[in-house]
Amino acid sequence: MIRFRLNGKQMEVSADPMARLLDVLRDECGDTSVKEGCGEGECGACLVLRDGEAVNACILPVALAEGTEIVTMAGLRDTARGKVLIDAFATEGAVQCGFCTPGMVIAADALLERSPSPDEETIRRGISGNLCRCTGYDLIVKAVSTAASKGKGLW
Amino acid sequence: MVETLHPSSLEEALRLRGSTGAIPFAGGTDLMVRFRRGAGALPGFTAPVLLLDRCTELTRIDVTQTGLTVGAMVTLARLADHPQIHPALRDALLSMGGPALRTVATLGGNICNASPAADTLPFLYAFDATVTLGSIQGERVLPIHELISGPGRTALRPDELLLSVFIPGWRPSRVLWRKVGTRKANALTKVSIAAFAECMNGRVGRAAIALGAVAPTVIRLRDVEGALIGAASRRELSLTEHLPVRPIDDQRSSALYRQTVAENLVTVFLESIFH
Repeated sequence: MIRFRLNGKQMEVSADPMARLLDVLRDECGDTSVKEGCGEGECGACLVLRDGEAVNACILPVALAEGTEIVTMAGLRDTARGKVLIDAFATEGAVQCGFCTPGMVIAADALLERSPSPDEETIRRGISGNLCRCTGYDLIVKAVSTAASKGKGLW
Repeated sequence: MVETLHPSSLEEALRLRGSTGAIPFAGGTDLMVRFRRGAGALPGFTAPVLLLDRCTELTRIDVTQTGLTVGAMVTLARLADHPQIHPALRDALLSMGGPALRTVATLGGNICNASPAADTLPFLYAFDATVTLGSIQGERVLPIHELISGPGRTALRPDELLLSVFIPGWRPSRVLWRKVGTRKANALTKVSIAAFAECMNGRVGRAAIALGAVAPTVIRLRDVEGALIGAASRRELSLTEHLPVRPIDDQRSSALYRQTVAENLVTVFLESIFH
């Protein structure tokens, strides 16, 4: 049995320790807010927070999540930070097809945790592990900047 | 399905490594990709896996008079944040993957994966870093270039683990780190250079030049370094035209491109010394 907390709830799964956290979250825990893009840690669609830091769930064995707190987009959306981020992404038009969005929002949260008032270069570095094939990134960068100013004090 | 071993201390990890020869698994960012079998499938490991994430003994960074000792399980992100590391190593670390990958990937993993394109290796080669390997029998220390014997191959014995890396303190006045890839983030290296020189009274006193991804292992340009010692101008250097590189054609680049860029990078460095 592998135990971890998922969005505040205690989970206990009987997965193989080397199963990808991504598969456990989607198939065992029913959390489909976590997306699979490249499956090899390059696109960031599968990002989740592990103890507050963003990690690629597609290349993380669930054994390395044991005893940690995992937060996905499905959990973040109900928090004050998540609401500010969602609002900023919507206001700035930072979502087109939406497939990269959960990973982008997780990356943005992890970035703001480290750097609450980031400049443009810092934002671009913060989301540099996330690919978006629609927006051209500018609107996402703007959304993260808007979230930082609207959500002052939250990070 | 293979057996997964998850020791809670270094001592237990060394014992398990000795008795099973299991694959050491640090952050797994290379291994999980190499053995991936797609969505919903378990990675296809062919031997038992030894997870090292609970070996907190391997996560120390110790600063001494002579340099920095970095535990094998220190992540790239944590090392990049350390105030005492050389800026060129920090740049190399921050050129690898993206922030989420660097949160998990480790220095020891990058070294033991032994890729000719590994981005910490040119720096470590140029700085004459040493590695400490351990087994239940004891420890031994090797220069970094003796640990890596070929692409994906190391001198690590089946009962050994990489414990730590010693990076000598050195503040050379001339520094060049350059990674040539297709984009800034999440790109594997086509060619890289870590080059350093120290000048005293207008002459080069010490020089170290390492190239990545142009040979089966990272290489040092010992001939060029030797020619540099004592030189006071570019004109004094009588360098052979060809570098001792043996690049290959692969999906990332051609051998000719790598050869040309490597030569240009060395030229850029030499000119920067005597600007």
